[in-house]
Amino acid sequence: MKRAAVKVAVLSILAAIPTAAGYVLGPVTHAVSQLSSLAGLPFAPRLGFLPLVTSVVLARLYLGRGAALKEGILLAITGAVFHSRDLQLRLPRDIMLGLGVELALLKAGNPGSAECLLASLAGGLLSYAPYLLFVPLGAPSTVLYAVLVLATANHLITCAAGGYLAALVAKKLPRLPGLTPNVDRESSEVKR
Amino acid sequence: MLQLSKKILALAVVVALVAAGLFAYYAVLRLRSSEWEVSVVVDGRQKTFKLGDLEALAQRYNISGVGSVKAAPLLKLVQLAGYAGNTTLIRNLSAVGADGYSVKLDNAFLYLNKTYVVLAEGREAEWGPARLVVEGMSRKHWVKQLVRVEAGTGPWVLVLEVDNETRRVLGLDELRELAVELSGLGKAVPLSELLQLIGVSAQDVVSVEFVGADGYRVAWDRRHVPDAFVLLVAEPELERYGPLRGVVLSLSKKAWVHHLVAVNVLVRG
Repeated sequence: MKRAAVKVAVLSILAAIPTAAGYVLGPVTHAVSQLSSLAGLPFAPRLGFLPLVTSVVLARLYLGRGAALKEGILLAITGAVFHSRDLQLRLPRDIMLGLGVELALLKAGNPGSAECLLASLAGGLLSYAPYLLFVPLGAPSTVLYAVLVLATANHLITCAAGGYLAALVAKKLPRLPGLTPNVDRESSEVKR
Repeated sequence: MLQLSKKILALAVVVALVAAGLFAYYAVLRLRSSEWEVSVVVDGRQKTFKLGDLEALAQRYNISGVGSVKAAPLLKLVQLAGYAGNTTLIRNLSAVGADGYSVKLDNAFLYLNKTYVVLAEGREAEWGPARLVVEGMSRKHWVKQLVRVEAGTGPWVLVLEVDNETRRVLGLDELRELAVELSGLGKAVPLSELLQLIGVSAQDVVSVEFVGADGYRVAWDRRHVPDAFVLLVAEPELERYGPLRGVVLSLSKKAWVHHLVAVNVLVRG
């Protein structure tokens, strides 16, 4: 019971991170966006999505299997409360992010930086699917496809940064006793 | 060994993403951006504007938050797409970017004359060849890489605002119910009636602003409230004045506003 309560608390804290970080990341995104425009670069990371990826990957790292999906659902609910606009995109986006990370790390016992990065890319790809479904391809053109490639790459790079950040945080912060998956046992279970 | 290969794989994926993005931008987008199209749909009728068409319609505007840019007013584009605008208003507007980002504006007629399709002139790399900018609204209402604008028209309405916040939207039928006969002018709704509807006491009013569909605004102080009316324009003059006209009997006709869409009341405190 106590363990479940702590799990819920950790998931909730992680779900609060993107909302709290938004106040800082908004102006930072704007500044980065301006800088990249001045430099003539086509990339300006969407920093707002970065903490969502970090939260989901951290949930998986600290709470084990199933936690990434739960965190994704929790983020979707939080997003629906705070940003009621475009619910048809936001709800599936956050859930798919959780699902992508979950699937990518399904067999991972003790995910390292590389696994976190790959998982965040998988989550990023799935989370972008709802946007791609709604893309207006009235008159498909090479230019429009080029924009789609650019936008998807941009999104995925942000996701990769989020995943890598989660791996760095997990390396520095201690694991939760009794909650963080037992690495050896999980690895041996996988082997068996 | 496995760990190393995963690291290499992860790194390779990120490098590939950067390369794909850079290729898409420099090898395709920059060279072929003249092919860019923006579709404007008004009540199901679609008109597609190529970048060259937009450039022909564009002028240099000084837009707050953006600076001096080359832009085509959205009002012009929706008019070319079939919006007549004398008896109906653009109630809903949605704009979609090539990356799937979209925004929706309710009561869009209030912002239409402050909305522009801004054309890229060089360094605005990630904005794309065209982007939608709504002057005075936060950037979350702007759409980069604009590909589609959908507008839905509806019957004429009057928006009642208090300190620039919408309090109530009244249809013509509701206004007709409140109307009285104004000698020589026809049916009109006294402003005092409208103030009552939104719970504002005449004593609290500092000034009142009439706003026209073309963005024309006239403000006057509370002394004129008893002489202010919203006139329901009769059929023969509909073309000239639109369905609603803001009149202030104690002021010259310069202070009257035809094609009235909003009454903004500034209150004390």
